[in-house]
Amino acid sequence: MKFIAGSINLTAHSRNSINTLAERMRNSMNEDQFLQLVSVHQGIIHKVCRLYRDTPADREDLFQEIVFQLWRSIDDFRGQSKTSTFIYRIALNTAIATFRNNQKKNVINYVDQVPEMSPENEDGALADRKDRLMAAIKMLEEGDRAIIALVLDEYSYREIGEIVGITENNVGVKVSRIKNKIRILLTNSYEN
Amino acid sequence: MRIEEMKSLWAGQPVEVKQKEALAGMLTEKSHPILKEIRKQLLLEISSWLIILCVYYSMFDGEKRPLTVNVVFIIGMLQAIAVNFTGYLAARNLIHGDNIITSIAVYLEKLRRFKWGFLFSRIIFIGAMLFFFFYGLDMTVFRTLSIVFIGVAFLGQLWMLQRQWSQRIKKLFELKSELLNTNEER
Repeated sequence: MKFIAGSINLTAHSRNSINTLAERMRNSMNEDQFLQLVSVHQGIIHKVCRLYRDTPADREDLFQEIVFQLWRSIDDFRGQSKTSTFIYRIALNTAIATFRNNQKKNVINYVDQVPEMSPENEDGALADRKDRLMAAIKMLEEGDRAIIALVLDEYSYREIGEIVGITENNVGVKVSRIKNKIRILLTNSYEN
Repeated sequence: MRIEEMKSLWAGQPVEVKQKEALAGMLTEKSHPILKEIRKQLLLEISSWLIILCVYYSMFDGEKRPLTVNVVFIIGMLQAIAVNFTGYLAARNLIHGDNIITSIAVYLEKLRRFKWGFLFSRIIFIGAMLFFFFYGLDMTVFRTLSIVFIGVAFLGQLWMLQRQWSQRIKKLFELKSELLNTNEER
C-alpha cells in the first residue's frame, strides 16, 4: 500500500516535473530555437501560402506575416499538441484573417528554364497533376481549403476538429463533401 | 483521382527553402510588410497632427479663443491619435484562442468594436475642428455653405470607410459561418 501510494506520488511528481520542464522550455525558447523550429516545418507555411495567395509577392508577404504571428504566439504553445499542428493552426488562421486586395493581378512569372512540354515526360506529367490538384483546391471556399490541406497532410479528424474548432463528426461530413467537390473540379479540368 | 494519390501529389508540392538568416529577419515589426505600410501612414498622420497641435495656438488664433474651445480642439486631435494607434496594435495581434473559429470570432468582435470606435473618433475629430475654426465667426452665407460642403465631403469619406470595414467584417463572418456549417450546398 505504501509502495503504491509512493508510486502514485512519484508519477504525479514526475508529471509535474515534466510539465515544469516543458513550461521552462517554452518560456525560455530563444530566437535560435524558434528559428530552428520554423526552419524544420517551413514546408507547412509554404503550402498554406500557395493555397491562399496567387502571386509570388503576396505569398512572400504572407510567409513573413505567418512567421511573425508564430513568433508572437509561441508562448501560448503549451506542448499539448504536436509542433506541426500548432504551426498549421497559426498559419491557416493568419492566412484566413489577413486582408488583401481581392483583385486578380495579371502576373507574368519568368522562370529560369523552359518548361518540359512533352506529355510523355514523367516529371512534366507529374508536375501537371500537382498543379491541377493545387488549382482545384484553390477553387474551394477558404474554410474548405484549410480542412482539405490538413486531410492531405494526414491529420486525423480529431486533430482537424481541434485545429478548426468543430466536432469530429462535422469534420467527417465536410471532408466527404470537399472530396466530391475536388473530384468534380479535377474531372472538369481534364475534360477542358 | 483517389485520396491516396492526392496525398502523394500534395506531399510533393515544391518548397523554396528559406535559410535561418532570412527567417530571422521576419521576426521584427520593422520588416513586416503589412505593418510597415500601416506604420508609415500612422506616422504621417500623427506627425502632421502633432505639428498642427504645436503651432495652432499662434497660427490659428488659439489665443483669441476661450479655453474650452482650445480644450475641445486638443481633445479632438489626441483621441484621433489614440484610436489610430489602437488600430495599429489590433493589426499586430491576429491570433486569439486555441482554434481557428474562436480566433476568428474574437478578431471579428475586435474589428466590429474598432470600426465603430474609429468612425466615432473621426466624427469627434471633424466636429472639434469645425467648432474651433468657426467659433465666434459671423455666419455669412459663404461660411455656412463652407461648413455644409466640408460636412458633406466628410460624410462621403466616412461612408467609404465604413463600407470598407463592413466588407472586411462581412467576409470574416461568412468564413466563420462556412467553417461552422456542415449542411450548406454550394
